[in-house]
Amino acid sequence: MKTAAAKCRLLSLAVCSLLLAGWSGTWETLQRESAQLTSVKARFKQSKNMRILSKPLVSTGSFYFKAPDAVRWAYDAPVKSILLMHAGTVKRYTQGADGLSEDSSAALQSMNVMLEEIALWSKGRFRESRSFSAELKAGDGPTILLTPRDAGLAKIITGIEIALAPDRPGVISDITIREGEGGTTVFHFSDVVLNQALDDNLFRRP
Amino acid sequence: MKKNNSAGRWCALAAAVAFMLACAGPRHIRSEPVNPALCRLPFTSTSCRYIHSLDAELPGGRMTVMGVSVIDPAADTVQAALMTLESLTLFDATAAGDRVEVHRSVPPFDGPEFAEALMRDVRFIFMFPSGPLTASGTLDDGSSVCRYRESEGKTVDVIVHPGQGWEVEEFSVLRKKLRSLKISALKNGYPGELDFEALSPKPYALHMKLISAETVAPGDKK
Repeated sequence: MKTAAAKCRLLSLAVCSLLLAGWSGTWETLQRESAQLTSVKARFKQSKNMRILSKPLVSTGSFYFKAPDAVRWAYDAPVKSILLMHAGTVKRYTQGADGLSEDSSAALQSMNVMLEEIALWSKGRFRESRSFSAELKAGDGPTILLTPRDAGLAKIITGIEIALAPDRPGVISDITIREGEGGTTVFHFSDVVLNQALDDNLFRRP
Repeated sequence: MKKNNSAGRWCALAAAVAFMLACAGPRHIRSEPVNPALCRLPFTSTSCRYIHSLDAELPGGRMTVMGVSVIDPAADTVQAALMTLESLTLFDATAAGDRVEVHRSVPPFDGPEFAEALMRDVRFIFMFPSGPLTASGTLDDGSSVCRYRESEGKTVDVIVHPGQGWEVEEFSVLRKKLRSLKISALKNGYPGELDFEALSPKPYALHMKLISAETVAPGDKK
């Protein structure tokens, strides 16, 4: 359970952190622009495709980031769930029969280890990631391709593609995560607001 | 020290009561005419795809995932997938009869016995007992019950609580309760909530809340 949860969280953090990346023509400018980012607020639509489904399984929610490392990743539907990261602690709350309750899984502790990864990615320093190698493909719709460095991780995630909005520097439009066996998850971000003042309590309380 | 001894005795007593309850065996049935269709009602007779949120109580803690199940009673096949809320697939397998084919499994869902045990549980949750009806009647509380004889000498009771759902209980040949399921009243033809508990060999519990259900047309089974 711990390993799966850790890898799940790696995926979660990858998605969270990738949203922080800004558009640039080169790694250097991307890093420079990302360093100026103080906060992100966005809506997301998550579409899961896999063999057993006849149509995509859609989840929706909101995403908040505040530099240097505070994250609130909240699902509204179909399952209400809130993941909070603040000051090195990680908590997840899920809607149950008795309201929101905290995930007691000890594996959540492994989130702390991943904060190091987030710190790198949030600064646009993808090439320094110990989990993924990064390739930047320029064009009208520039794309960052991430490939797992570790064979174990590659069995779970075969690759990640991040599409940057061509008409709005600093905004990610879509992230596609490939799992192999035809399974993919696409995150589409909308209503993105950058560098707005966000209350710390947003990252402390569900 | 005295407090510890007292606490220890209470724990031992509680464990003994739990053990006795687990070994209490199938309930006493008062033989009366029961419409077997009532027992069959919450189980699908046609091929269906269900998506549930699964709140799992495991020895290592609590976690919530999403589950997709495709049940085809006519073909005797079950497909099941588990994924995190972030959509990472943890497990994906198909069971046809006794044969289980695992398409994907992520540690710790990749153990040699996990797939077979999970698919057995999925079959128990969604499929109507395949064995013959051996008894039917009412329980002491007035509920109706249908009793089926399954393979390996197991007994499965389907208990009808009119207007309040169903209960399914499975017992070993030694009368030990193995698994139980509470099925809520139907909403639009499907149970909105299911509470599953495995008691042996590895205890765990699942609270399942229906997200969507649909019939699967022939040829749509992927």
